[in-house]
Amino acid sequence: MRAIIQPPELAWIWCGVALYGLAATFAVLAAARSTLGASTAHAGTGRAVPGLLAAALICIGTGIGWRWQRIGHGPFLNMFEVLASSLWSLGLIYGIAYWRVPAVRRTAAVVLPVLMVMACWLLVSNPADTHLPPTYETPVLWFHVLLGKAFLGCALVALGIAGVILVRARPRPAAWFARMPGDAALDLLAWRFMLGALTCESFMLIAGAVWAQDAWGRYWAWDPLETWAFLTWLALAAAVHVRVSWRIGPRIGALFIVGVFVLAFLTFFGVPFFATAPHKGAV
Amino acid sequence: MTRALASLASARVMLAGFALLAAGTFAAHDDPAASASLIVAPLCLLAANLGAAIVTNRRLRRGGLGVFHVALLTLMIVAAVGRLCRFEGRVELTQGQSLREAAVEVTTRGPLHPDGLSAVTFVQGPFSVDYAPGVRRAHTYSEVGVVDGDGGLATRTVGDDMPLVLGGYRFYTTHNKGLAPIVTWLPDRGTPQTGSLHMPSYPLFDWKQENRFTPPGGPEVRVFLRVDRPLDELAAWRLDPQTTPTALIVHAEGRRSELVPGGSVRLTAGNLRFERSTGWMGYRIFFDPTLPWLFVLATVAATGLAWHLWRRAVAGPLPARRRRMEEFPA
Repeated sequence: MRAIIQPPELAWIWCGVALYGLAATFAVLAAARSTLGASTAHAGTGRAVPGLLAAALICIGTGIGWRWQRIGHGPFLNMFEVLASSLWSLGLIYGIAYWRVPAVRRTAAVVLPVLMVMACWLLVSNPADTHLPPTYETPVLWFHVLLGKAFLGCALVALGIAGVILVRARPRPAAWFARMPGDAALDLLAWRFMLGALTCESFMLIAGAVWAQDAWGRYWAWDPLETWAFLTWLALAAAVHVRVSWRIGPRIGALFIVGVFVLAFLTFFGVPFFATAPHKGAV
Repeated sequence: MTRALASLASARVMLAGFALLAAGTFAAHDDPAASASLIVAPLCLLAANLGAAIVTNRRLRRGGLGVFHVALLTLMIVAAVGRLCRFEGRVELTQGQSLREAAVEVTTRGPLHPDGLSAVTFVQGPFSVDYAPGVRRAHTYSEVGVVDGDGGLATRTVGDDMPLVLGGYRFYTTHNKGLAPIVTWLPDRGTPQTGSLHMPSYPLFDWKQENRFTPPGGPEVRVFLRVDRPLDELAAWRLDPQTTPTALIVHAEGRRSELVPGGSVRLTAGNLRFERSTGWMGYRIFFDPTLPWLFVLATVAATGLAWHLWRRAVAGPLPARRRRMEEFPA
């Protein structure tokens, strides 16, 4: 029988995934219990969320760092690496928003389950070691990747706020988020994050074009990832203009945010499955 | 006139442009041949809409929003100029061979392309490509000789993220490269001719290193290049055509001959001599004089957006609790 050798950093990453699971469970419980008026229990579970999130980030960060040191390059290539780095970067961006913007805190009940979906996907993805192509050995890649993470992170925070607006449209979940600001204020906050996402995505596309020019001799070639990234930018720009031009209500605005996030998520994690061009991303 | 401008600047036209551009992009993705018209037409509509909006809406001329929209419109115009001036092509150069415009296969040539390629030349030097275990391509080092200010040849190394830039033309090494046996045809009458045969890309097609040619006045010849160093797929290795041991298998007039470097075979009307094996490198050529401007304009546009975001969003108040809602009007 042949032994299956697992990379040593996996234990740290799995530990981080488990902590993400706990944080998500506590966040949902805290929101649900607030309906029942169990204020003490709610406070206890709710307060555990930032600590669990921080611990999850430390574990996943350690795992990524270990792997980086072992194979000699960052987490840029296969789906395992991209999911692990996204789980870490999205958690970090959400954690910063959680810390700096009090109104965002209760959106943990929406955001952390979304991150758990990614964590579950990470559990079933192949952690095999990867080979860094020479065209990836450029500082421009860093700008491109970091801006991409910042874009998705901003969109994730906006998604959490939009999720609250949509969820509390129903009578029962409305009580979960009763202590949060009204829909109009949340809508304003969510669109600030979407503007941040638009800015980061614009810079990401520029950095990507600079990289593509030197790596493949063209700055834009409509390969699947470029096409879908552009469609995401277009959808986001259109959503921003619709909101400004027609003053749509918070719920419709929230639906736009969900739509743009889904498109962005599919671009990041779905397109690489059918892309065959050089810029195929994570498969 | 003002009314027509206002209609053109409307948000509905803009959204229609967005929708058409999205549909065009989506359609072009499935059918690249149709890309030009499907993408250019909505872009023209959006450029007209944006121009009219900038003229009619004072907010779009001020602050970060103004910088973003004006830079975006200029970017669209400059990108269009770039497309009209663009040149794209590819060329394969054997070691020792100079770039000649006639050898370039043109893939895109804009109607306003200034045609400066004939003034550009360089000499292909030796190249090597590193491979990681699993035959995964790593670094490419291609030496080229470029005429320097004193009329001599200066050596430059290009490859991966480092193109050779001459006269605005950018030459990129590609995965398309291989081995090139040098052969000399020694006719019974006339002068000898030496040339190179480009074998299929190596190691991609290591299993079919074959070609065929007809020497002047001679019979058709089919040649196979046998690489006398087995490809170890599990180890790291370096492709260096100059040091790759090879033998040339010649099939002509119903006979098979195996030639080592320096060996020759007698054919009707002359002798064919295998001189040595060398390499050829495939280059992608790209020319777009607007490239630096596109970068500057795109960066200015995105910076304008960031400025707008900073002034209107980040520096503004953030909601904290429900009771302070009145502080945050929509």
